[in-house]
Amino acid sequence: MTTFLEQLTEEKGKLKLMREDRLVSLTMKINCLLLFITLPLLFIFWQRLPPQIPLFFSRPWGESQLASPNVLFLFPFLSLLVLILNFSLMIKTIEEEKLLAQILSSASLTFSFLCLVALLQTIRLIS
Amino acid sequence: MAHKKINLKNWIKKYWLAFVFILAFFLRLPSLFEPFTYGDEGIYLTLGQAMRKGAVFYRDIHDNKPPLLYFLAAFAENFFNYRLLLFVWSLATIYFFSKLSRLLFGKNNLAVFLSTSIFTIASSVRLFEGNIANAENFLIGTSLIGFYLFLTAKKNSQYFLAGFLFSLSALFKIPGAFDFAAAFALGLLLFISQKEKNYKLYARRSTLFTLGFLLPIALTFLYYACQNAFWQYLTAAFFQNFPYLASWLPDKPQAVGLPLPLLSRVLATFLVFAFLFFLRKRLSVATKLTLLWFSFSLFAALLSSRPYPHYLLQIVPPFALAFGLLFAKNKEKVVPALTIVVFTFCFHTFHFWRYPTNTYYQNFYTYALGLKSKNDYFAYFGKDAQSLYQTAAYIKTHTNPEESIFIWTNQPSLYPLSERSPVGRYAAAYHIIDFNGYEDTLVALKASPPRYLIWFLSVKQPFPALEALVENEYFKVKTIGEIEIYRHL
Repeated sequence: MTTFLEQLTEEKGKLKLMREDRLVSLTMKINCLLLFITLPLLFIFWQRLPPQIPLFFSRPWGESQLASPNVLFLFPFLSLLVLILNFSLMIKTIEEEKLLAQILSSASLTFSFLCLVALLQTIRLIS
Repeated sequence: MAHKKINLKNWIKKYWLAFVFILAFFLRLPSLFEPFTYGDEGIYLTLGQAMRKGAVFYRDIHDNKPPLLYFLAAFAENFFNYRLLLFVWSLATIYFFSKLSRLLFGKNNLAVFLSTSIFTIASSVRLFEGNIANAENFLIGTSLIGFYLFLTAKKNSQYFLAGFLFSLSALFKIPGAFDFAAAFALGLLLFISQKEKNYKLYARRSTLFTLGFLLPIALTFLYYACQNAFWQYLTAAFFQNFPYLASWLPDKPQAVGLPLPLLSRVLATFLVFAFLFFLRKRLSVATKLTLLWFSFSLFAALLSSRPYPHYLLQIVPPFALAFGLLFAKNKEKVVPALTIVVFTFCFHTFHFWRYPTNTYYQNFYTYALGLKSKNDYFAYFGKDAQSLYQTAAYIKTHTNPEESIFIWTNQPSLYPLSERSPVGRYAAAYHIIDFNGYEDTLVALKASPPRYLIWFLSVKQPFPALEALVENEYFKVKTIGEIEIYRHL
């Protein structure tokens, strides 16, 4: 059974591997940056947001599409969730499956980017 | 305390690029929200939209730039996506600028940080129309990567790729070709500076670099020849630019058949090259690149002698790189001062327009923070902004998506805003006037008369035959601000 210290050293090694991979490192950095930008963006526009905003466009036209502006926090929250999930998978796989780790980091970056675009589009539509 | 200071310094050293990106994000954010009323973008999107409907550039729809920008506009489909594309492109451009700066200034973090920050600010602010998705904003990206590849190339294929990237710059806008010329001159200078010269290797690499530049351009000719639009392409994207350039007008003093101001600028560029040639052993690669690129791009930006500030965007990369030389340990320190003087002199002498920058950001952020109404926010962009959007909404609700309309305007944004294509080859009144398209337009209007014709009262140039056509065959249905909407009888 591995001790906590051994486990920590092992994780550190994997983190180093991730840092050394240029694609993984770059996409993770940009991903964090996007997350960092999304929150201030929401706060800047907060005063402009109406009490109800159109968001659930797959529902029938009308009131059912509306939601509270608080729901907009779903965008950064989901981005963060995907990032954490993918990150934990990357930690497990980076040693044996480098390509998978690269795909996972690129996927979470794409997801965060699309969330940011969706947020921008929603704000543009209602403000 | 000292320990804390060192940590802060390390922290800045580590994350400075992130700060630069955040700065760029907030400087560029307003461009995604402002009303889309800029004429040039309107033309690109009109052409892009026409391409999506099957039209061939230059043959079915006209503008006088090479096709790459229109392809991007076609890919983007609408104004928001087009600006978003520029947004992402600009962030990538900043990243490659920082790489080039790092390559030139090595471990001097301050030089890299300062030059990248200046590049970010100068290429993003409204002063030089960084907010508008014009060709210069795109071509500085491809030229930057081209220079980076050119300086780091080891394999022959990398020289070809560098030439290819410069070719993309030229396919965005012809003056982009001067960046290729600057890189070629730099290559020659670096080769001459070598102690042991391998002529064969230099010749092979230069040939590949030039081939990489020429091949994509040749392919566009081939493509348009296959589309039966070879001559239209050649005339519109290349030849028509010559009389279009104000500096070539015959009223300027001439020598050997060319205008003197143009010749003097050719001479100035040549003198810079000669100066670098004589001092080649004493100057660093950074100085050689900065001065060569600066002089060639300045020549390109002043080629037409027109006062549009976005032309100056092409000079921004070498201008910003010059600031990295502030930290040089020899006389190269004077380069930034020199570039500032030349830049300011040209800005004033050529009477470049000055777009207000502070009020632009003030207008956006007061609106975003809820301190201003949408109407007041739009009003900042001129009285036409509201009317344009209202007219676009009217057209969209009164015509079918496949229907074409005709607008007598210098504000072609209405076509993409209403998602309709123009009747005839011309998207703007000034195109019809500048390129003598009166006859073509009338023939097209008579052959397939549009149900709706929109007349902008702001266009002062006369088109009597069109006025007669409107009087006889159309009736006015609505007036929105200075825009009159006519319907076919």
